[in-house]
Amino acid sequence: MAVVALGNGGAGASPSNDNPNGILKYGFDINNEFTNFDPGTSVNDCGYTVMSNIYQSVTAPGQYAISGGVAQSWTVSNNSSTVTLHIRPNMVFSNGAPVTAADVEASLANTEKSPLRSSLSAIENMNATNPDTLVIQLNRPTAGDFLWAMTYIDGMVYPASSIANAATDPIGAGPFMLKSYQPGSSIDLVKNPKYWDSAAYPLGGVDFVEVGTGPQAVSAITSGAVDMISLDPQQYTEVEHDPNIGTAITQSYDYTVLETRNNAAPFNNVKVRAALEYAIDRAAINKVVYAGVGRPAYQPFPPDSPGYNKSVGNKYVYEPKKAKAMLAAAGFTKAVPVQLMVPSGDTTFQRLATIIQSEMDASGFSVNITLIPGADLLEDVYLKKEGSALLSEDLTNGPDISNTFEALFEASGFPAQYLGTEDLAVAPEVEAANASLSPSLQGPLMQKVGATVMAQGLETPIEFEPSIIAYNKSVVGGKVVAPIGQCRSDLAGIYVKK
Amino acid sequence: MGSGGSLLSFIVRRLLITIPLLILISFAVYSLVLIIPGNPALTLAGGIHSTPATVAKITRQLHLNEPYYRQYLRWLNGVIHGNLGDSLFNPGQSVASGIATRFPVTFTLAVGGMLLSVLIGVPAGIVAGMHSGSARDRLVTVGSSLGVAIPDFWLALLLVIWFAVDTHVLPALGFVAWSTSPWQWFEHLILPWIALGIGGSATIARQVRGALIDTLDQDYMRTAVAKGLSTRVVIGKHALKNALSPAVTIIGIQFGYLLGGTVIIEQIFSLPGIGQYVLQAISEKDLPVIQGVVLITAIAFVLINLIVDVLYGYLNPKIRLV
Repeated sequence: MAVVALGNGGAGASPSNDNPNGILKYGFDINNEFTNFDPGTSVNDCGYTVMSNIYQSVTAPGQYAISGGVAQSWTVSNNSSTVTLHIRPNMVFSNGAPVTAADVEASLANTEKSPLRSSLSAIENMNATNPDTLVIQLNRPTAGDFLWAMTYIDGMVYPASSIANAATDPIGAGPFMLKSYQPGSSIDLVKNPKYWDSAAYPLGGVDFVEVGTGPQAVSAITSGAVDMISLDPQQYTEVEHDPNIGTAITQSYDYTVLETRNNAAPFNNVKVRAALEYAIDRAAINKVVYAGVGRPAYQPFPPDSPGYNKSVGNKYVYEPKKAKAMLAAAGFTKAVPVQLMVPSGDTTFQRLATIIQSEMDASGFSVNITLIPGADLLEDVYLKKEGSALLSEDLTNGPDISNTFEALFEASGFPAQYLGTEDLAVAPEVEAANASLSPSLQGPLMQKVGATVMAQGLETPIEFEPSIIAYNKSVVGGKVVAPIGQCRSDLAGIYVKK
Repeated sequence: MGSGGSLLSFIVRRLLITIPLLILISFAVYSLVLIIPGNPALTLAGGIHSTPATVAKITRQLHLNEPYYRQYLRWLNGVIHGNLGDSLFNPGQSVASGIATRFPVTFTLAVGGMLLSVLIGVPAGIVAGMHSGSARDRLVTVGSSLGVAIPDFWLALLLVIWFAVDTHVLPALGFVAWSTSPWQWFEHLILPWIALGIGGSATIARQVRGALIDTLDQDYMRTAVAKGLSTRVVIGKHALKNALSPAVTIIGIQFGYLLGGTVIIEQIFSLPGIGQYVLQAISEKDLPVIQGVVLITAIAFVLINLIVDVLYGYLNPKIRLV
């Protein structure tokens, strides 16, 4: 039986220039990235940016480990098929009601109705044995994967009595409470005085202000319309030398990737896929597209990950001559045609696609780019099987490093089925890694998977994406941290200056 | 029957024409279901996490498995009863309430932009038309050419850089409700109004100038001058009434366009209007929202055209006979 007891530490004393009533103006694309406040019906994962400040999830995310949230501790037993949650003592919702195991059970049951929260399909049954203990029986030995999902929208906890109105009137046990919501315009939160670790959040409140991505984000932060905002790498270069703007950059495990259609020509030929690994100049892409603040992805895991395979190292550097020779050895005397599908509306992807096209063309391929609206990807690329490769992202987001490979390589995965990326050699390793978040378990398994992925070209990792936050130095105090992964906000320890 | 009576019958005739037009529009709007590719049921079912069973269940829930005509009649029945349906991706939020929340923003934007266009364009056009060939005329002509040529989104970005980023005189983005703070409401809308109004004012100025020059060249105008009428009466009472008729059409069309949602301007200034709403709906294939917004926009266009026709009929009684 594995026993874990973890919890977030409280912050130290407030700094002298902290304005306890200070409201942080946070730029966020409410219009495109927020649906509503109900974890059970919200269909936009980026809503987590806001919702994570209202709801406390069962566990809390970190880059290398998870920590306690509503569950102060948990035990894993029965060969990673049973998770027992121990609810944090004296924890209350913002309305003053105590947080009980029954609330957690009701929350998970409601959120499970959402098809997007697929992690909850692992729940076989739940049993609140007492107000402080919830026993969750899983239908597969994937406790590690489940506990990671519990850090996210999947694990948000709310009172059973609030479910009916959760979409518009959310009640949680997070650091803030909803004050007002203007659809497409603003979401204003105020401090939750009943939050269990209130000292960790010195802000009086946070106003999420609608700011679209792109040039508006830079205008918003430089004009003072917002105090803090997440930026794309292209925008980072526009503010990095601004003396009034501070930036925080965190390297993530998320990476841009070329997903190939492995069950159709030309990528049903393993030699062609292997050649592709040498046809991308990852270092140049980091400089040009990611302003030098990303990291080339020579394998699916970066050097600081337990999944990093030292023997693979930086083996797959850009070698167009070698790629050409590999294609010739595979019987391709003429350029190999590739129809590259690229989501439109994303400038990073579009710049990336143009560079990849020229690099691949120099390596024996002939790339034709097709821009496709994000909403058409599922239908056109997966179901109608248009295109031979897709420019995409693999989002790992934290310590569950095998997370992204489930859908890609396990037989039940949607991309695995439609892109033909299912791999019988890799799938068992991925399945085994879902049992625990322990680096000692997942690390060796993923090192093995990483080597296979690169040798067989199951996918072509390109760049580990940086997470970038820009903030107004004269307004924002405390240690600003760019949260790993996309669509997250970490406001702990941040305050507004007097 | 007097002129008031004939104007009334003209209005009634125009109203009757709008009924089949609206039915036709409703059919065309609903047909968006057939035109727009993609499957919202698949997205709602979890995208790459979906299963065929979930997709089938959601398809049934949305009635997407029913024949097209039945889906149309179901939707039309709802529309007639004031129910435009619910957003697919925002359960519990009706399309009507979504439009009602955002329409005031777009309406405010459109009215302000249009007012600015008229306030600048009409006087500029009159001055240029009255002094054709003069320095003032050339100034207006060059200015209006520039105004027409400059894209509103580019002007918007320049305004943001000048007035928000560089000088911090006005806010770069956002919307504050009138009820919250009238001054902040005004402050946040100045730049969008200018960005929208400049192009419109240029078009109106050119139209008024051209029409005024043509009108002043008419025999009846020379007669009026020969009779010794003052310039104010000649221009104000006789020339402008005719010269403004084409401008009214332009104003009507532009206002209808602005009401449809000035997508790019709303995006640049982060204004929560109809444009943002429908843009998001298009990217998600949220069909009820797209259909609702397109329908309301089409109805607005029809009504504005009706008003323009009535104004035209007032300005030019001969039109009423057509």
